[in-house]
Amino acid sequence: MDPSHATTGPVSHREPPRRLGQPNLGFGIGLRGAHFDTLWDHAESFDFLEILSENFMAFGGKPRAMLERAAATFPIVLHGVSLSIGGVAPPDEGYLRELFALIRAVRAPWFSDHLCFSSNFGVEYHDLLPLPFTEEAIELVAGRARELQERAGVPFLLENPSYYMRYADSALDEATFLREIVERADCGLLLDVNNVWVNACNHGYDPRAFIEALPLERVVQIHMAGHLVLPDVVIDTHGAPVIDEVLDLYAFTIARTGPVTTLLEWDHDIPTIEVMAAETDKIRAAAARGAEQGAASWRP
Amino acid sequence: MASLKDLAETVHAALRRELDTDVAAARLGVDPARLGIYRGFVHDHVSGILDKLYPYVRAHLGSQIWAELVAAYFREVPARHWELNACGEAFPAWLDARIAAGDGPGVDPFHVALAELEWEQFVVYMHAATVPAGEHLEAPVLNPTLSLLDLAYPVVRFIVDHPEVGDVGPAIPVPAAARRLALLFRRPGTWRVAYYQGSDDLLFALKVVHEQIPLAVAAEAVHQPIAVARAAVDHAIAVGLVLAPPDFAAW
Repeated sequence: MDPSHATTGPVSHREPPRRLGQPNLGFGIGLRGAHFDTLWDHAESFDFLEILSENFMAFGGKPRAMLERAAATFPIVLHGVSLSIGGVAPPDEGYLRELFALIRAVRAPWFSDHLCFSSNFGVEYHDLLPLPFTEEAIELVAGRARELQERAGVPFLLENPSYYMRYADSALDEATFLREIVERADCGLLLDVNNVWVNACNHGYDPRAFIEALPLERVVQIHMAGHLVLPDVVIDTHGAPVIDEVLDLYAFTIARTGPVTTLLEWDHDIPTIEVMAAETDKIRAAAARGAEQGAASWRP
Repeated sequence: MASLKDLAETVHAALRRELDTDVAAARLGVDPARLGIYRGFVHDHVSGILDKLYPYVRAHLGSQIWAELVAAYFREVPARHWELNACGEAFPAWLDARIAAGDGPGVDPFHVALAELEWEQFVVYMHAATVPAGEHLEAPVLNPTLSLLDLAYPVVRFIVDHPEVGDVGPAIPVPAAARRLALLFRRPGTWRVAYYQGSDDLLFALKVVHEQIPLAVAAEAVHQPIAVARAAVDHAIAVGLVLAPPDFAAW
C-alpha cells in the first residue's frame, strides 16, 4: 500500500503527496464584486483566485472584464453551485457547455462543485440539498463525476457540503460515502474544513476522526470559511471570520496532507480586501503550524 | 428504503411548499426543523434576488404588498435557470398578468413599467458587449450596450426625480400614464448604467448614427439648420449614447 494513503496519523512518506498530479497553488480568495476595484492593489496578498462559475458563465460587463484581468494576473480555479450532480436528471447540457467554455477561457487547472443536488424536476433550488448516504447515490454520482471529468479534460473535485439533515435511509457513514464516490469516479476531493466542523456540530461526530477517515490523498483543494452558531444548529454562512477551532482543524488536516491549495470563502457581509488579506494570513499561519506537525514525516 | 427519486420528490414537494413540512420530514426521517431550514433558504434565495433586482418596485409598493407578491411569485413561477438572477426575469410579465387578471390589489400598471426598466438595467449592466474607446473607432457608432424600452409610463423621469431608492415609498403618487421610450446603456469608461428618456434630439441622433446618414442630409430631412443636427449628435456623444472617434468633426 502506498504510505501516502495512510489515514491514521500524519502522512508517513518523505515528500508532500501529489494531489492527483495537481500543483499547490497556495492561498487564495474568491473573486467577488465587492473587491473588483480594490483587489489589484493587494494582488501580492493572494496566490490564486477562485470564481463561482455561475457568476461568470452567463455574463459580460464588469464581471467578465474583471475575470479577464484576474486571469492575466492569477491562476484561476472554478467552483460551481448549480451542477446538481446528484439530481434525478443528469446535469443540464447547456450548463455544461458554458462551464466547459469558461474552464477553457481561464485555463483552469481544475473545477469543482458540491456533492449534493441543487435542482430537480426542472426547478432550480439555488441551494445545496444533501443526498442520502446510499449505494444508489454513490453509483449515480460516481458515474456522472467520472464522465464529467473526462469531458472537461481537467480534474473535477467534489466538495463535502454542509448539511443540516441526515435522511433515515442513509445506510452509510458520511466519510465512507465520500470515499466511495471519489474513488469510483477517480476524481478529486475539495475538502471544506469549515463544513466538517459545522457538520460535526450538527450531527454530533468527531471532526478529526472524520478527516482521518477520508481519502486524503485525493484532497486537491481546501475551503475555509466562517459560520453562524444558532441555539439549535450551526449554519454555514461564509459570512464571518474563520474561528480558531476550524483553524486548528485545518492545521490538523495539513499535518496529514502536506501543503494543499487553500481558499478563504466569504460570500456574505464581505469585508474589505485588507481584512481578507489579514484573514488569509491567519490561514497561512495555521498551515505553517500544520506543516510543522507533519514535517517530520513528509519533508525531504 | 426509498429510491433516490422518491426521496427527491418528497424534498421537492417540501421545498415548493406543496407538502407540509412535518409530513415531508416524517417521510424522509429527518427533523422537521432542519427540513424547514432548507425551505426557508430556497424561498429566501428567490425573495433576495427579487429584492436586489427590483428595489424601486419594492420601495414603492411597501413591504406588505411586496412580501405578498414575492410569496405568490415563488409559488407560481418556479426558478428554471441555474443562474440565480434569471429567476427574476419573468417578474414584470407575471406582474402584468396578475393585474390583468384582477389579482393585484395595491399594484398598478406603473409598477410593471418600473419593473421592466429595473430588469433592463440589470441586462445592460451585464451586457456582453464592450463599450469601445473613441480612439478605436473610425466613425460614430451607437453604444453597443444600448437598449430601447417602450414604456407605458414616464419611468425614467420618476427615477430621475427620486434618485435615492430610500426616498421612494407608497405615499409617492403614481405618475400619469404616458408612453415614453427609455434609452439604457453603459456609460463609456465606467460600468454604470445610464437612463435617458427618449427625447427628440437623442432619438434623432440615434437614427442618424444607426443609419449612418450624413448630417447635412439628416438636417435637411427635418428642416433644421445643420448646427441643430450637430448639437443633437454632440449631446448623444456627451451622454454616451453615441461613441465617436476623436476626429469626429471631419465626419
